[in-house]
Amino acid sequence: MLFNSLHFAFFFPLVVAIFFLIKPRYRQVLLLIASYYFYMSWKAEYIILILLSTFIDFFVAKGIEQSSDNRRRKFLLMISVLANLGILFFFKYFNFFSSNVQDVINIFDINYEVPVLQVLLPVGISFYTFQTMSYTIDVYRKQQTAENNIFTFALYVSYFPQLVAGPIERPRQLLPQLKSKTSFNYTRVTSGLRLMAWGFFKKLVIADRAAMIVNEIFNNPNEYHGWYVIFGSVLFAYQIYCDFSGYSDIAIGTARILGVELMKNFERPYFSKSISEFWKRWHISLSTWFRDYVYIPLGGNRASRPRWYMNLFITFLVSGFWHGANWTFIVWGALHGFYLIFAIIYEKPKNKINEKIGLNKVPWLYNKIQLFSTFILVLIGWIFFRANNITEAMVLFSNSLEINASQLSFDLLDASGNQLIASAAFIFILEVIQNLQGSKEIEDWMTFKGKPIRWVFYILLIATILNFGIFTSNDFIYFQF
Amino acid sequence: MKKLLFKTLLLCISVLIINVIIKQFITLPVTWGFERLDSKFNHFTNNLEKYNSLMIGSSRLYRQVDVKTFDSLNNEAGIDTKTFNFGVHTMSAADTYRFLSALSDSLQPGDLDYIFIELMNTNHVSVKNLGTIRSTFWYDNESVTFSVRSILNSNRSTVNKIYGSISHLVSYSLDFTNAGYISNYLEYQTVDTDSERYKYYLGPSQDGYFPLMDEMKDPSTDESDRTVLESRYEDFLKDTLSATTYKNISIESYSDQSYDSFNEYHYNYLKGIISKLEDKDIKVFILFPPRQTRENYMELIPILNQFPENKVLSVSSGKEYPELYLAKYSFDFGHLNNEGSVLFTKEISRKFRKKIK
Repeated sequence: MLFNSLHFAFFFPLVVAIFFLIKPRYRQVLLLIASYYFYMSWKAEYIILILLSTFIDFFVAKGIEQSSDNRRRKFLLMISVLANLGILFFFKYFNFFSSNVQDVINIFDINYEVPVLQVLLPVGISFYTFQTMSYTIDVYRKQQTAENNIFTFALYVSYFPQLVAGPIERPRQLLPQLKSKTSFNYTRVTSGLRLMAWGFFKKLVIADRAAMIVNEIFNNPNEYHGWYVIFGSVLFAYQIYCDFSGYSDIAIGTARILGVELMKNFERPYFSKSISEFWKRWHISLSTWFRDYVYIPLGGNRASRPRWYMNLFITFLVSGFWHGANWTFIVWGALHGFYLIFAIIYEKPKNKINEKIGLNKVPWLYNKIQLFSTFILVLIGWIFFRANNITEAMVLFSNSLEINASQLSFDLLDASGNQLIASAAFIFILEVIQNLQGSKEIEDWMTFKGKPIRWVFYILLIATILNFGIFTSNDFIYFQF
Repeated sequence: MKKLLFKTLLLCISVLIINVIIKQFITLPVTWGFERLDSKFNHFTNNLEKYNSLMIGSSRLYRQVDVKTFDSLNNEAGIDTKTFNFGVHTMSAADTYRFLSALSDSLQPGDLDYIFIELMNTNHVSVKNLGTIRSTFWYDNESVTFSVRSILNSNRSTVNKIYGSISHLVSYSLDFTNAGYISNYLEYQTVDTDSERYKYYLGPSQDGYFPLMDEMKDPSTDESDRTVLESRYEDFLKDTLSATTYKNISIESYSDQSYDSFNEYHYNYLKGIISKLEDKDIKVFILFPPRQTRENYMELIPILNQFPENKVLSVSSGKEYPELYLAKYSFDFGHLNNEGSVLFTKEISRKFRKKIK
């Protein structure tokens, strides 16, 4: 079920109404049924995978907790990790590996066909797999006690607001909240609704509109050059941001209404002044997951410089691969790893240059340059991320360099011309609001002091979503990961 | 909780007022969301002087009434008809009446001499079609009322009545709340009604008749459409007996005399439309094509029986017109091929001429 579907428009109010009407002790069961229904409305049989992960991790974690034998504990952890990664590999990466093995075999003229699976990628598999793995790892590390109630744990794995696209929650954050009693709280519910509205604005008005033009350009890379590719890439940067952060806002708002506080997933990432800052603001739940479960176990920055660089590079390579079984994602991850390593190496010479040319004395200009250069680096990454394959990414990248003024007529985009103007206008509005928002949360920023202003804003926001939204169901981009 | 509900209600009312204001300034055509429909609507309203007769209904007209043959047979008999085929697939009674009323708004007395309306059921909006543009922007208050009431007054099962009514109310609520209204308007601004695509939908003779076989073989047909048509055709060739099944359904339905009630609401509504058209000096006929489902027969035969004989062109009875159920005249189980269409058209023309005289 999609948040932006009619189905959800009926499902969610019904769940909320029942949630607050029934006794608190039945609420977990209600949410579990609702979560399974939410998932099964996409493809019912894939619920088996969630059940499998739930059972394995519930019993493995219990076993880990009860055992004092380190070898046994490690063995149990390996069972959980291998089972979860095994499912993930089978459904998400098997065909990628088999097609690459096939390519290698073909090079050597060996007559053998590597089997290819005809299965659909289960929606959200990367998200709930990581969430449930973090539970067993935390129990193994003794940072988390094993859950005694299998229904509570099942709800932790399948909690519908964040089941298919995160935020990837940690057990110490989510499990206690699922067990606590919630009563109707006007301030909390309205705050959740405001966040949901903002999420819908980003998703329906900006992301899905930008997608019309982005898809045209990225699916026909040979036809577009110069400004088209640049505008297409900028639009994609906003599409993916508004799509994914919009989803996160709706998820957080939905959970908040039901009394659960999910972690923040985005913090205005395009306001970052460096790539490392970008990763503190973009998909925070995933980047902290990789930090805690990959980067630090590898040794993090408490190692020799070459090892530190290697740790960074491996973490980002894996992160890229997590996003999808395609070389484009691997290159994207590697590119970001390279950016970060380069930033560390370049730090001292950069400061010296700034001092020499006096840029450090004009902080506003320096900030703007940093902001702009970070955005450009991110943009280059997005070209690889969105392109259908590496060859097309390279074509788009080289085409983007062929800039000339005559291209500005946008003849090729005639059919989507109106949507392009509307996209630009709404991105501008988004930026203005995000600038005004400052360090406040968006849902808090919306609570202006004057009642009339607040109401005008709400009415305009909802009227804009309704009138300017794209309502022919478009999947959220991050569902595929 | 009460405070929240009150404020939500207030917010909804405010947004709805804005929506109403927007609709005063920005208008989407009633046919928006389905290019074939839009193409036919545009062509007909812009070429009114070329026609004096209109046939409106579903694919049973779009694919089966060869208006060229129809006009030439009528002309030979001294009846001047220049007919446009406004049949489009996926149409049901409610949208047909809605588009007819939108068309007739622009008609002056003398613009048209004849209108042929296909008698159909009001279908529900299927789950997969809920929220699509095609099923959203065609409503007005009158048509949603008709959709719901005609379903509730039918003899369908309770579950069908409930789902059918809800499906129309949900679709209408999307229209009412302007869901994607301006986005669609921006799309509409880029539509070229003179494009080859729009002309293609009017069929090879540009008179609205487009046989299924012709569309399947047309090189400009979309690959996906062609695939669907080919599979329908191939499926029928594998099971040609389905045509006979439909004949038997027709024979059984016509011989069934147990119709003790009829959908009075639907009948009165249609009668109202006919009388409005007759006020514009238009002679209206009700067309009833072959190969209906049993549910259609059960609901529509009793309505048909209420109309005077001279207004009805019924060519549906499997007993009376067995040739219209032969496999050799079929494209698929529900539609005739080119040869079958000529037979069907000749029969309509014969009946029409008889009624006129």
